[in-house]
Amino acid sequence: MPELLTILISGLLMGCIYALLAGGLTLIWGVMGIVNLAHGEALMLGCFAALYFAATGFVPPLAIVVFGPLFFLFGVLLYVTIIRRIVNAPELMSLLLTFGLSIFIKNVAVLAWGGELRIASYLEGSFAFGGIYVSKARLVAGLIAITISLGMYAFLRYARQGQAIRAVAFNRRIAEQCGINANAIYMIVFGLGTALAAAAGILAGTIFAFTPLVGEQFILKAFAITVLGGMGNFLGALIAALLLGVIEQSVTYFIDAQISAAAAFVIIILTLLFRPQGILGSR
Amino acid sequence: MLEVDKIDVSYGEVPALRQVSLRVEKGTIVSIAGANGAGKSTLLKTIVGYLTPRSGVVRLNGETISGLPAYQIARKRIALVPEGRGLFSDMTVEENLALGAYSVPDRGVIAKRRAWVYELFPRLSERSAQVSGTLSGGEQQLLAIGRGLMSGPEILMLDEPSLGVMPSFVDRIFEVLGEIRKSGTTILLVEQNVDRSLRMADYAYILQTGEVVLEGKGEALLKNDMVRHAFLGLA
Ligand SMILES: Nc1ncnc2c1ncn2[C@@H]1O[C@H](COP(=O)(O)OP(=O)(O)O)[C@@H](O)[C@H]1O
Ligand SMILES: [Mg+2]
Repeated sequence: MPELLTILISGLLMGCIYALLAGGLTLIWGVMGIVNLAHGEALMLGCFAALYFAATGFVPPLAIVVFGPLFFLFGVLLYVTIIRRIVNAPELMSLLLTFGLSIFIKNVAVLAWGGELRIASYLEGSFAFGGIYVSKARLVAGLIAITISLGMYAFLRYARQGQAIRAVAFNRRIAEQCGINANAIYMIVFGLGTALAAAAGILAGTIFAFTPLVGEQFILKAFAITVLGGMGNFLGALIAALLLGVIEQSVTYFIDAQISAAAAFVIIILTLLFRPQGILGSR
Repeated sequence: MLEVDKIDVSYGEVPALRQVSLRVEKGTIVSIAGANGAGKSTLLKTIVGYLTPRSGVVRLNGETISGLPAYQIARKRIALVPEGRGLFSDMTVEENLALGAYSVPDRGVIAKRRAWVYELFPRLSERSAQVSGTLSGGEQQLLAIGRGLMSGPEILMLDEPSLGVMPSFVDRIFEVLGEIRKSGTTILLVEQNVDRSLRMADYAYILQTGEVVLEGKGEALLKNDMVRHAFLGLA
């Protein structure tokens, strides 16, 4: 029993980080209709931001406070310079462009930082109670992640700007008729999505070793979560992310860590076969 | 005052409006009638900035607004209740109303308007937390009008508000239009219900295949032979 709880908690905490990443991806998809293949690279840059922060002597998770706004601006800059051009273009265009962007960022990162494994670890050991073990670093990362995700959800649900974002996602034209500047909303959403991915990276970087190619593993998980949660559904992504975290952790424990990486693939296939609209989707 | 000055509008190469001109004086109700496909919706879409005229201009109080982005035209307090209502159907009644007032900065003003809309449409007030897509057709139309009012429009434009609405609701809609006009809001009304809309209108235009073929006082048009024949089914 304690083993099961250990697995469950560990999986949920990992799921919280996935939720942060996938929340950004599903937001960008839901509002802008763009499949952002460079989303994993924002996570990767977040990992390196945590590393840089650790090197300057600060506690890495705090990097979110400093780098969060910077990554938001980075997303805004990407939107204004390139993403803007593909918002209403055929999907193939956005796939090609963000794929190219992903390759470009990865390779610049390899050139700049090399390909060796690093980690921004700062907190060792686990809490233990009644035979349940919870890694301290993972607990901190998971709690910060879920707080940000829930905050984001509340923003989308209740804030005036959040309502405007949902309005544009639902129908750009009607939103504009209400006086909402849809292009400004797209810019904000791409900034937010990028910042969410980077925050996920900052937290993941304190738990896992990473290289400039780390985005490749994570984006696959983010896609699985987005599909399972219902494309564009933020709350769905949150729930699906927790599910994936627990499934992966269980597979790792009961079967094999190597196989757990396949969980995301299996989820994508099963969802598309049996519930293509996702768990919370309605269409 | 809204002024449409000799506009030409087309979809690709296909012309939809030719040299259309009309004036909507402050505080009046102006009605536009015409058969299906005459270009009524196209005209409204051009005024709100979805479509840009090839030639000609649209002016609001003397200022050219054609060519501006749609959201900026909306902020000049021109509200459209679109054909088919165009609600945010996955959001609640309350949220739809809030979005209607998106460009209003003052919370106090928003609260007052909301109270007024709920007073006009008590049904909406009862259903304020309901997802708007689950309302009946008539209730949705009332909500669409309510959302249009939330911006405090100088001009409220309605595209076939009685379409797909039960007769009892249609009465209510026309009653409300009267009340809205009394509050000082100018109304531009496109209606299939030609008899009623002409009766209510201070001035009216008849559109036919993209051109204004007839205009005049509402009551006068009701007596016009062509109108009686084409729209009222009278010999
Ligand atoms: N999106 C569109 N693309 C091409 N043609 C259109 C479009 N919308 C309307 N039309 C055409 O423009 C003409 C006017 O349409 P519309 O303004 O909707 O008429 P009404 O509202 O009076 O029924 C029609 O011939 C219609 O087929
Ligand atoms: Mg029409």
